[in-house]
Parts: sequence; C-alpha cells; structure tokens
Amino acid sequence: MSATARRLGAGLEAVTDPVTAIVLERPAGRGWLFAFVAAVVLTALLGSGIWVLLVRGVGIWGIDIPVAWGFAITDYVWWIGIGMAGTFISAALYLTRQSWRNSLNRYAEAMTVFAVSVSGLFPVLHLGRPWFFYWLAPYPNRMGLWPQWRSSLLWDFFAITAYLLVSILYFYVGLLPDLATLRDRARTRGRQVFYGLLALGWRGEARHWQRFETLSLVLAALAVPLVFSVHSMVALDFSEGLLPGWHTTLFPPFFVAGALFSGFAMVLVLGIPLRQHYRLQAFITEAHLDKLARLLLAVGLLVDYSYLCEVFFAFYGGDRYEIALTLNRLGGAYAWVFWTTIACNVLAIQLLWLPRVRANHAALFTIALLVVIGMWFERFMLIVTSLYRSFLPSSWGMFYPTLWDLGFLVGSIGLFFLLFLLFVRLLPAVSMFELRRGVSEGAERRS
Amino acid sequence: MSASSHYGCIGEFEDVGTLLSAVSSLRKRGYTRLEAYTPYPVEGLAQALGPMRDRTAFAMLMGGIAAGVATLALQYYAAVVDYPINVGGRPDASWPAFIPAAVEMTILFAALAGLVSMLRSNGLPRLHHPLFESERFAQASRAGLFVVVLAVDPHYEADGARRDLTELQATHVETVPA
Amino acid sequence: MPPLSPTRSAAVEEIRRELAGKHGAAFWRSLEELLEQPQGLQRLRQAVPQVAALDPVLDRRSFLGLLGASLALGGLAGCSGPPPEQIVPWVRSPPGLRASEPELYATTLQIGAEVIGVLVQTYEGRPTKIEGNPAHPASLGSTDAMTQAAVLELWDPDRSQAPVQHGSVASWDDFQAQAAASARQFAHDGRGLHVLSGRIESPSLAAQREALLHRYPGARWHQYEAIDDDNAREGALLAFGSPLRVRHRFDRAAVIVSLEADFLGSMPGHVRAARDFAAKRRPAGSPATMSRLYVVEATMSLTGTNADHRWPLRATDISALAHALATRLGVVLPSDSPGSAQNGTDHRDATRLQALVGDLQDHRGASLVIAGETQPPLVHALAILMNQILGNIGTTVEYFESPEPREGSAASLRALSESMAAGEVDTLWILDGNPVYSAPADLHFAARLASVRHTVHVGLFRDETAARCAWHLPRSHSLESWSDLRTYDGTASIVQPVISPLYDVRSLHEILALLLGSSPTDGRSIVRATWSGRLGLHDEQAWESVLREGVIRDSAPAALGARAELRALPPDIRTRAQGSLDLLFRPDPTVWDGRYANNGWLQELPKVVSQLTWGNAAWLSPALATRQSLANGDVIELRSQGRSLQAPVWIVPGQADETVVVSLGYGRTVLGHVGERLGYDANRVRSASAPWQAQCTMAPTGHHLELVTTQRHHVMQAEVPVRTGTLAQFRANPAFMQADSSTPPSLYPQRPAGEYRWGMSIDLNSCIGCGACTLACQAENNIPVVGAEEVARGRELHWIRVDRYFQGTPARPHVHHQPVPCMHCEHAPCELVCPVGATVHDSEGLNVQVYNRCIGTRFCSNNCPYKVRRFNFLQYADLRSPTLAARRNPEVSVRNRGVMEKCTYCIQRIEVAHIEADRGMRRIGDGEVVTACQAACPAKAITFGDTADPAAAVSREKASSRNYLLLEDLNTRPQTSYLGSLRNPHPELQDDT
Repeated sequence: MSATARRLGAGLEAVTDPVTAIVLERPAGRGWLFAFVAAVVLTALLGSGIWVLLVRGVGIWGIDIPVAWGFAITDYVWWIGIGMAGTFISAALYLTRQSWRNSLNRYAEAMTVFAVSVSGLFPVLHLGRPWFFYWLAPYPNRMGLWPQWRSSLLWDFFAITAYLLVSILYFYVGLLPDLATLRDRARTRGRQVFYGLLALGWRGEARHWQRFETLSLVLAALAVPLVFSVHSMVALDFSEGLLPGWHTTLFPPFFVAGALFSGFAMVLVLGIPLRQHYRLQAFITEAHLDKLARLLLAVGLLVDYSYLCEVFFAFYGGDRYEIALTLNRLGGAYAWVFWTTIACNVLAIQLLWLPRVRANHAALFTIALLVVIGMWFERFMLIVTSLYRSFLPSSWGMFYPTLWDLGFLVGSIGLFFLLFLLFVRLLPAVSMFELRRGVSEGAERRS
Repeated sequence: MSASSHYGCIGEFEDVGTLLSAVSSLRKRGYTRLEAYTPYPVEGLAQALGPMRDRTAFAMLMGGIAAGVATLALQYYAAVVDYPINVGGRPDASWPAFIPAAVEMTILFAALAGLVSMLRSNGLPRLHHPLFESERFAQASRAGLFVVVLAVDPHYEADGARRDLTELQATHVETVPA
Repeated sequence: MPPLSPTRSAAVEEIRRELAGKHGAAFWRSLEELLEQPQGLQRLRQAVPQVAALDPVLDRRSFLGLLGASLALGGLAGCSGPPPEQIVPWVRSPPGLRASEPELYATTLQIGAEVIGVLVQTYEGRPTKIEGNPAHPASLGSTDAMTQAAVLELWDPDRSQAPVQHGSVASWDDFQAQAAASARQFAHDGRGLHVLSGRIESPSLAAQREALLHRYPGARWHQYEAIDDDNAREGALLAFGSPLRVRHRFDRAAVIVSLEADFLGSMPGHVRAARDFAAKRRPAGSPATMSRLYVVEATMSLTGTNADHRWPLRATDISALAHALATRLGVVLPSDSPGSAQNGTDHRDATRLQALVGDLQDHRGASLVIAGETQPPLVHALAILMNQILGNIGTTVEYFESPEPREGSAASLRALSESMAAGEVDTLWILDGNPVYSAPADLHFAARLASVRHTVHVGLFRDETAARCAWHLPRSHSLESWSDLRTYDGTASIVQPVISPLYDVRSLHEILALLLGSSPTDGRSIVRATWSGRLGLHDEQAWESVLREGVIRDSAPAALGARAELRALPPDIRTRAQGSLDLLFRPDPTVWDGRYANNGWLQELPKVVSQLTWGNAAWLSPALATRQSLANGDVIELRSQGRSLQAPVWIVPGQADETVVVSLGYGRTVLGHVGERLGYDANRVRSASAPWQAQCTMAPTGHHLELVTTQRHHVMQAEVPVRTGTLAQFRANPAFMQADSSTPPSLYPQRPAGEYRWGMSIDLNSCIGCGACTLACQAENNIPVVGAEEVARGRELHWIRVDRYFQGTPARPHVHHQPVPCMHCEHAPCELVCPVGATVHDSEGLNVQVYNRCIGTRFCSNNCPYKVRRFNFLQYADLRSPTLAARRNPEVSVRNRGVMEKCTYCIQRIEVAHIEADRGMRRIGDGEVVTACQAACPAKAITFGDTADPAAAVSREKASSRNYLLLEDLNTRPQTSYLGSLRNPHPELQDDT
C-alpha cells in the first residue's frame, strides 16, 4: 500500500479523532463544570425574573414615559447583532472560498443559533402582555383581525422568525455528516441511538454528497442577504420612528456593521478560551485569530465611520432637533454612555493595527471583550438618549434601571453560555468533514 | 447463494485516485448500479457513477418564489380586501411596507424547500441500512473510501463482483447481506 | 395592616359571614347585637384587639382594614340608589331615561373657600361625575379641580363609618343618651358649653346657631377656618365701619391691579372670576382690545402666572406700594401714614407706578384694585378707597351685608383656646373641623383640648381631632345630605342628597338637632323650615323648582351704596428684623388646608406653578437658593418665633427674594391610607396673630428629599410649543403668529372624509392653567391614581396634562400654560408603528386606542412627538375596593396592566350624541358633544366639535388668525390646534421683564 495513501488516511484520522474525542471520550473537566454551574445559576436568575415579570408586569423595569424602551430592547439588539457573525463567517467566507473558515464556522454557527434564540426572548418579554405575542402572526381568527403590516416591529417579527429557523437549519445541515461520524464512532448504545437519530442515516454516498453540496451552496447564498436584511429590519425598528436620533437612513448599514463588529468580537471571546481548553490549536490556529482580529479592526472602522456620519449629518442637515440631540449625546445626562462606547469601539480597537497585539491572545481577548461591552453601550445610547429628550421640553424625562433590568441582562448571558457549554459537550465543535476535504485536497496537491 | 439475498459487494480503496479509476473501469465492465462512499465530498465521483438528477436548487427557487408571492398576496388581501383600516392616513395597499415580510418568507421557504428536497431525493431519513452491518463501513465517516456493486445490478454475480473489485486494488472486499 | 393570626383571620371571616346577610341601613344594629352577645364580643376581640382594649387612640387603619371592606359592601348593597326622600332631578335632564342612562341632580358643594353649584351625574343612583351648574352664579357650568374630586371623597373607603366613643365603636343611641345628659346639665344657662364650627355659609346652620344661643344664653359659638378672610373683613371694617363683603365683576374690568390677590386660584368665586376674566382676554373689536392685569405679589400665584405685568415684591413692601398708589390716585389719608413710597422706589419703580396710575385713571369705572387675603387690613381698606375714587364701586366691585353672622377665625379660635386654658370650657362640640391639626401652634389647641371634660367631634374622617375627643360622630357627605349654602356673591342654593348615606352617618344639621334635642330632626325638614318663611317657598312647586334649578333666584343681598373713608390708620404691625426672611403661608392648591389630603386624585394632580404632587415644599427664589447653595429637595430648617420646621426646598422662579413660602394642608398624621405622613405640617410654625406672614431664619440640615414632580422647570426654547406675542403685534398684523408656519405636503392620497370630523381648539390666551381639565378627565375616564413612587418614575396616567413653561429671566419670568391632550393626528405616527393595529383611525377622524387588541409594545408612545400616551406599567386600576368600583363611569372601560391608553376625545360622549341624533333622525348638532375637559374649564379655553361643519364653534376658533398646530413641521396633521396667547403690556412698560 502506497505511502501517500497511508499519509492521507492518517491525515483524515488526525482531523477526525481529536474532535470526536471531545464529545465521546474526554471527561467534562473541572473548568467546564464550574462554568456550567455558573451558567445554570444565572439562567435560574433569568427564569425567576421572567416569573416576576409575568406576575407583576413590565413595571418592574425602570422604563417610563418618555423612555418606554430600555434594557430589554437594548439586550435584544445586542444579542441579535452578536448572532450575525456566525452566519456571516460560515456563509460569506464559504462563498468566497475562504477555506480557513472551516475550523471556525461550526462554533460560530452555534453561537449564532444561541444568540438569536436568546435575543428572541426579549421582544416577547418586553411586551405589556407577553402572552399575546402571537397576535403578530397572520393567522385566521374569530375577530377577523390581521397584523398591521406597515409596522417595522412586524417586519422584525418576520425577520427574527426567518433568521432563527434558517440559521438552525443551516447549522443542522452542516452537522449531518459529522453526526454520522459520531454515530459510527460512539461506543455506548445510548449515544449510538442519540447520534443515529440526529444523523438521519447519513452514509456519505457520492450522489448524496452532490445534493448536499448544492444545498449548502444555495443556503450560503441565501444566508448572506438574510443576515443583512435581518439587521436592516432591526435598524428599521428605530428609523421608522420620527424621533431625532432614530429617523435616519444611515441606520440599516450602520446596524449591519455594528452587528458584524460585535459578532466577530464574540467569536474571539469564545474561540480563544475554547482552543486553549480543548487544545484545538491545531484547528483554530494563530493565523485564524490573526485573520479574525484584522476583520474585527476592519468592521470596527466601518462602525466608527458611521458614528462620524451621524454626528456630521446632524449638523450638516441643520435640523434643530437633530443638533440638540447630538449635543445632548455628547454632553447630556448620558454622555458617559456615549464616551464609554467611543472608548471601547473606537479607541480600543486601534491597538489591533499592531501585529504584536494581534498575536497576544490575552490582549486580543480583552479587546474583543471591550468591543462586546462597547456595543451594548452603543445600543443603550442609541435607544435611551433618543427617547429621554424628545420634541416637547415639557415631556422630558430620565431612565433609571432597576435591579431586574440588570438581572435580565446577566441572566440572558447565563442562558447563552449554558447553551454553548452544552454544545461543546454534545456536538463536534469543529466541522470535521470539511477539514477532511481540506486534508485530501492538500494531499492531492502534494502528490 | 443467490443474488437476492445480497445487498451488494463492497470494496474499500486506499485513495481517491484508485477509487475513481476503479469506478470508471467497473462501469466499463458493464456494471450500472454502483455506489461510492467517502468521508467527504469528492469532486466528480457522483458523475463517474453514472447519470444523476439534482433538483435541490430548482426546488429552492420554486419554494422561494411561491412563499414570496403568497406573502405579498396575503398582505394585500388582509390590508385591502378583507379588513382595510385607516392607519396613519397611509394608503391601504402600502406596497413598500409589504416587501420586508415577503423577502424574509422567500428566504425561509427556499431554505426549507431545499432541505426537504435534498433529504427526499437522498432517500433520507433512513435510520437503518444493510451497509451498517459491515464492520469496515464505519470507516466511511472517518477515513474509508468504498465502492459498492449492488446486487440489483443485472450484471451482478457475487464472485464476479469480488474478483473485479480485488483486481481494481480494493484493499478489502466483502459481500454485504441484504 | 398587621398580618393576621389564624385565630384572628378566622374570627374576621366569621364576622364577615355574620354581616353578609345584613344590609347597609340595618348594618349597625347587627354589629351592636354582635357586640351585645358575649361570644360575639369575644369574636370581635380576637378580630380587632384594639376595639376590645378600648384604647383611646384606636389604630383605625387596621380597624377599617378589617371591617372597612365588609362595611362598604354592606353599605353599597343597601344604598346604591337615590335616597328615600323625594329629590328632584335637574330640569334639563332628558325625559324617559332608561336605568342605564345617567341622571343629573342639581346641588351645591362647599369646596375650600368656594361655594359652587353643581350637577351630579348618577348611574342607577350612584354619583359618578360632577359638572358645574350653568344656572349657578359661582359656576356658570364650570368647576375647579377640587370640586371634581368631591365625588371621590364620597366613595373614599377611609371615610368614618360609625360613631366612636373613646376609640371604640358605639351607636347613635348611646350618643343620644350622652346628648340628653349634657342638655340636662346646661339646662339653666349653658355656661361652659362651647361650639366650634367652620365658617357659616349655610342659612340653616345660622338658624340653628341662633336657636342654640337662644336656648343656652351662656354658651359660646366659635368659627374657625384655617384659611379665612379675616383681613378683608377688618379692612371693610376700617373703611366702612362695618364688615361688608365684596363681590367683583371682572367682566367689566379693563384694568385690574391685584395686590397679592389670587382671585383666579384661591379666592371665593374664583371659578366665576376665571370665566369673566378670560372673557375680557379674548382680543375683540377693532382695534382689538383686551383687559390688562397687573399683579404685585411676593410669590408666584396662579393669578400671577396670567399677568401682563407681574412685579415680585416682598410681602412686607406691598402695603407701602398700595399706600403710594393710593396717594397718587388722590386718596386722602390721615397724616400718620406708615412709610409711604420710600420703600424701594428706584427709578424703574417710579415709572411703573406712574404708568399704573395713568392706566387706572384712564379707565375710571372700568378698573379694579383688588387686595389679597394675605395682605393686612390696611391694604384692603386702601383698595376700597382706590376703587371708590376711581368710581369702580357699583360697576366692577360691589359691597354687601353678609346675611350670616361672621366672626374672624383667628380671634374666635383664640377666644376659645383662652377659655379652654382658663378651664371655663366644660363641653366642646367641634362641628366638622380639625382644629387639632389646623390650629396655629401658638394656641396650643391640642394640649388645652385635653383639659375639656366632654368633647364631641363631628367629621367626615376620624382625624387628629377625632382621636383626641371623647366622642367622634361621622358626618354624612354633602352628596348624601340636605343643607343650604350661600356663595361668594350671596346667592343661596339648596344642597340635596343624590344618594342616601353609604354608612350610618348623619348630617351636621341632624346632629345639631340631636344635640339641641329639637325637632324637626331630619335634614330635609330642617332645611325646608329655614326657607319656608322666606322667598315664599312654602308651596311645593316653588320648592321643587328651586331643587330643579339648583339655585334660589334673587337671594343675593343687594349692593350697598355705603361711603368709605379712612379715619385712622392702624399701626403697621409688621416690622422686619435684620437678616431675617419673610415666611409666607399659602393654602395648598389641591388639598387646601388638608381636608382633601386623603383624596388620591388631588394628591396626584400637579400643583399649579410648582407641578409638585404628593407633598409640599418650601418655596425659595432662585437668587436666595443660589446664595444659600440650596438645590431642589435639600431639606432646610425654618425657625420662627421659637418654633421650627423642616421642609424640602423647591425653587420657584419669579418669587420675591428674601422670601420663603410654605403651604398648609400636609403633614397629616391621622387620616387614611392615602394622605397620611406626606409632606410637612406648616401649622407648626404658624401663629394666630400673623397667619399669613411671619419672619423666619433658615438653615440647611444636609438632608435631601426626592420631591415628586411631573415636570421639571423648562425654559421655553425658541417659543416652539407656545406661540405668544403682544396685543400691539396682533393689532399690527393679526396673523403674525402664523408667519413661518405651513403644513408640509404629503405623499399620501387624501383618505375619504367621514360624516363628522372631530377636532379641538385650545385658546392659550384664555387658559389660566388651573388643572381642572386634568381632573375632570380623570373622573370621566376612570383614570387610576398611580401613587408617589410611580409618578416619581414618570408613569402618571393623566390623559390631558397642563404644560408649564417659563420665558424670560428666573427673577421675572413670564409663565405659559398649555393643556396637552391627544392631538388625534391625521397622519398619526403612533398608528403606523403598532404591529397589531391596536391604535387606528376611525371614519370621524379619531385616533382610537383598542385596549383589547393592545399588546403593549410601547412603540406608539416612543413615536408620539407630543408624548400624550400613557401606559399601564403595572396593575394600576384598583379592582378590589368596591366603593371605588361603584364610583367608576360605566361608559368607560377600565384598563388593566400592560395596555396603552390616552385621550379619546371622550368618545363615549360622542357615542351618546350619536344615539340621540339617530333617534331623532338628525345630524349631531354643534355643541352637543362636550368633552369632560371642555365642560370643566372655568375659562372656556377648550372648544370641541365637528370641524367638517364650517359654522361650528370649533371651526370658527380654528379660523382665527392666532390658530396654530403644535410641531406642525412634523406633518402629523393634528386635529387638536391651539390659539396663541397674547400679552397686553402697558405701552410704556414694553421692556418690563
């Protein structure tokens, strides 16, 4: 038997076994357990918060008139933004044949699915009567009522639904071959059945691969416009309103950029510890982190450009209210929010110009974390500072968050990590079949 | 032993090159019902096995168009025909406002249609399969490359198939019971 | 309420069961039976230990907490319905009403210093809403906020519901025995018997007083109101030699000079005054004319906010200014005049005085000088003399003899307190008042009351005084009882019950009859007896017509042609110590002297000028606050005459420097669930000798309190919300306000017009900013009270708010009031963004809110540029208190948690009009639909109607050249529009700000 063949076989096993090992052989480990318990506690906090909310009403939050939207909507926009990067990385980079993405896309997609699921909670919970959220769906009912199609909230309802389902579907389709692998490698009966059911009997027949490839390609081609549309819809939730600071055509691209920004940051925040803890350095390499860092910087500059535009056009447009609002953001009661945003999203990322910083995982992790935080503050700034000073001075007000506001934010983070921790234990964190293809292509190039 | 009791004859190959050449020479020898299994998609293998139909893309196109048009129609019916209401003085048929929902539904249903079509034409889900009986076949999802000559092939004859596969440098050959 | 032990709660349940079968009227007897039976007493002991313990200071909170609900239920079951005696519906109520339709009854209410005729709307016998009586001179169909709130007072669950002896529940029979005893005791001459009542506005009460004094010659009858018109009486005494009462005719006054007189806010007749004043403010004729108002005052009053010229002056300087003004007008004064014009007459003041004198002399007979209650008698006397020399007496001002005997409150209460101290008081009957709380501190009333052997308190609540008296007797509410009242101009009218008492309570007249042992004993006969002699009201028809009309025609005393002259000037008592501040006392604009402190509507109504709710503060001028580096909410200690008080600071622009203003009515300690322990009690530093002005020193305490306000101070930017100008500008170009305004074009096709197109016009020139509209709306539309914490969060629910803007310098600002209801925009931003179509437009141009459909996204509120939408962040509507449920307007649905709500243009009233019109197969006539705010408005600033009809009043208003749309450039196309406000400054004082 030939050497090349043996090398190839070895290579295929080398990319398959360590990944399956994480799920099938390796014990959870103290680190994982600790994180898991923490996540469960925070999730419980979220659960109790939801209970109190349903019993007493949204009044447990700090919202008021004029600031009728507060943390809940901020959290929603923040999470759905984080969700964007996963789909983008796996779809857009797939279409552009960036094969280096293969080792990132799996957990990035998982991140997307979880982030979108978490974000989906908030638009429902922030309703005065959450149990009626399904009234947004167009279904025949006795009163003969339909949703109000002109509201951007309704567009958003459709957008989130589509986005959630498509990203789950995309994630699952990508998983099929790897589930088959796990099925075949599983030793215990329970796991064989579990993965067997999930794998739907995938065998890797050539014609199946053919159709599978088509599906993946078109899905990727659809996913890219989808994510862009979704975040444009999120932006329209605000820019359909006539408030200064909301009513601007800049918002959709601005939000898309912001979403990518926070998304890439989150990919780094998750990826760096992940590769450390599960020794995936072979898959998520220095090169990957460096590429992500460059992407982060690039998108970050786009976001910063949008900040600039906002301020510039406020004065260029000369609208009395826009100018007042802008000055208010820079110097008003919530100025500290604005400047925190600037510090995180504009200043901090400039360090990424330096190769040394990009190579330093601790620094990279910190900057990414700062960006994630900064993006939360940006959303808060966009929402609250536009509301608390509106047209009539008589109806000016303030927003003071309550403990429950914080509880829901922290709790949602807990839920996200709970899901993610379960993911790394139950599903392959790296797309094995795509790595195998990579290996074989490499082998062919050599021979 | 009779062909009907077999699913087919499976041979394992070392690398993609031998696999592809084996498939083509098997077809030269008159086999028409062949299957090949790989742990990752292999360029051209499907074509080498013979003509196939891939309707996935078309199904997705149809699904998308249908959903988009349906959503627009629904919105028009609801807002103009069934229950027109004066909302902020806007016209009943606010077409620009109808587009977003339609776009989202187009993408969603295109995706769903794609998944369904892919699974159906692949005969999935199928939780049990004769090949799973073969010990070696577990490698198909890890590092193994396989070719199967199906028993339903008119040209099939158990020993003949074994011989052909072995000649074509299969490292391991066995007959899989149905 | 303390948590119940199992045995206790069990006992309570048992009592509740006992009561379940009984009905309100029969109720007390049954509780008596309960108490008589030993095991019943045992049970009650378990349920309410305080009752058993006979603790004199019974914790009525838990008592009512335990029994109140069942009492209220029992009362309701028995009483929801018109009273047994024959009462007469208002004449104009349409015949053939179905049970579901409201009936109107005319009656009269005494609200603070005001006596006002009202129409009470009742559904199936339950009073739900109060409107003004168009036939009554003090109302002319309008009301003020406090009047609107009276109906809530009636249904207040905290009302006293049973006689109480030494803190434990007793019965009227017990009290009858007690009364008989004291009757025997005082049989010979009645020495040692003292009676304390409020100001006597009721002829029947006056008659009973006569009877009592006749029967017990040695008895003494005292009158005390915390807020009374002593100074005016003494001023009249100085000028005329007899305490004549005054009535003003603002509809005849072209130039008004107010010397700290808050005639639009707190003076008797202010509702009528607002109507007449506003009428003269509408620019009429050509060249357009309107009246001119000068206000000289130490602190910003409602009247001051409406002035053309408002000169902040220390209270202690106003008499000097009055003196100077009088002399310049040629009033002859005795030589020994106190410092005439020397006080602070810089060049500017001189020119002002000059202009003022000129203006007054140009309008002889059409001018009016009016002195405020807070000014000393001398100023009132000077005002009388000025009006006399200006020939205003008989035209803009009239003086008449008060038919009922009046006493000065301060003197009268001091007399009582002194005889209490001297131990001369054996028995004291306190007829409806709360002197323990409201008496000035220097009288030590509470302490001295303890030395009185027999004390009886009659009142609506078990308040501080009730807690200190041997007996407390629950008084029936004015809406439950017969009486009669005389209003500011002397016109008398009957008080008829519109519902029979909810609890076992009796009216003042009935209780007095009981004390006298006289007959008749029932209120109706007593009142009839009073009137049977006079005005030929002996036959039924005349009586009925009076009840129907709600006013006794020609019952006002004729004006006297008396001549005023000042013989000797009283010494000017007020001397200003160096470095001390003026301490001024003012009635609270909503809870008055504290009697309405338990009224949630009034507590939550933003107070004029300060916009505070749920509490009071010490007002400081911006300059003083800056000098002392004090901010809003900083707690300061005020020391005056050896007494001290801690109060939070509230900075009020336009207040005279070196002046601290405190308001009465807060710091109640024994009252009810709503009004206890709010704010501070200003009576603690008040003295009977100087009830309105004192000297004080001020020191910061370092503490801080978060005051609850609905609006911060907002200086108006670029005159966006309120368009203003001067009469001169208006004459030059009537459309000067519309200069840079035009509705932008729209991309959308015009929607087909419906049969009607409802719209509203609000005349900012008429609006005086009193807030009656806000409360009328709250009563009409079942708007819940949210409480101090929620208001502090910015979650108040008022559907129409009165915005207040300052213009100019903090020292001398102009104030603008702007009522803001829903604009009902044609291109409503709120409708566009609602994902479920819970707010949509109807065919008649209304922006309707569909509560059942609302899921509470709150995007509509975010997108409303006027911020008129209100959200139920929590369950605000009280669904448990049965009495509050009975108060609600059945035509308006109660909103629950999670739902957005807002002004509906009183759609329920529009629907009623629709039904009426359909019955008659006709269109709805102009003026047929009157919104609650419009009906209440004393100034008639609000006009509502069908803008599709060019002849409609609202269309005519909107055609005015002062008409403008709020935030027009947003192209929301509102149906509510405003008429800009005009000032009419003196030509020579244009720069006067």
